[in-house]
Amino acid sequence: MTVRTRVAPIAEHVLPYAATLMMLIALWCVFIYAPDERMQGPVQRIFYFHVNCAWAAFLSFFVAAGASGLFLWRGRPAHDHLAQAGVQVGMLFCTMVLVTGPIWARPIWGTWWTWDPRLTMTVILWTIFAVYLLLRATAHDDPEIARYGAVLALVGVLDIPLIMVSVRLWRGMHPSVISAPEGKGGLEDPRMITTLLVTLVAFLLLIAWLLWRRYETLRLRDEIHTLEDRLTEVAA
Amino acid sequence: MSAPDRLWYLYGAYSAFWLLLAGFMLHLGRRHRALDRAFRELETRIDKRP
Repeated sequence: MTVRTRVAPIAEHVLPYAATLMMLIALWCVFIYAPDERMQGPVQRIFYFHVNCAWAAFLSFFVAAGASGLFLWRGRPAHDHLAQAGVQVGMLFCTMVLVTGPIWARPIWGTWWTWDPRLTMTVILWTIFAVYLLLRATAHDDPEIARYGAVLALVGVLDIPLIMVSVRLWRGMHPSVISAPEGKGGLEDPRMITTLLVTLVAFLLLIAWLLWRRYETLRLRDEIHTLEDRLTEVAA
Repeated sequence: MSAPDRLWYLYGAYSAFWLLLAGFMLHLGRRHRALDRAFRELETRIDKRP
């Protein structure tokens, strides 16, 4: 029994329901359970999804980089499929970060966008993986392009540690909400921390499900192509 | 900016999240249906073989 056949029943019959249930609980926590932040008011509630979108994007890109490393080492298509799934799911969440961030920034900073170090590094991350997707979309069956893509994923993921430390390193405008100094906002109420953790669990389940769905689609597409090629060979 | 005004930004952010997620799910669904079609075509080709 392979890992895939062991994971498949859980991924197909448990993950979607668990993710939906946790998302509903997370929404209840965000809109009802968590209190308003003193300085920002209700708009601070964007934080719970915005931050988790960022973490989800980072995790998906790390999965893509890990799978890309394995693909370069062993050359197995399954690793390439996981890498592609990771990049696509990561791009979804990275786009969400870049959309929800400015919506939060407008009432708090008074502007939709500023070239703050963290924001700029996030745009760079999005661009690197957008190039990856373009590369794969234009020549998805070319093994050489697949290897170039894998190298790009490994290089792209190096931007994530820079995003993490950019607030402290370059002192930008972006808040470091979790570790904000006492009395200067941040997660000062235990209910806020609980909400963030519940939302994190919901996002982890959602990522796992989306990754599985995308991985399976890519795997099936390849299997169908292989079968079509064999059938054509036999017919010839 | 008043609190009710700020609520629009809150709803806007969450709407954007769900719209993007729904778009991605629709994209996945479309790919899945395309695979289903390809699979059925393959089955038909195999059945037609002598």
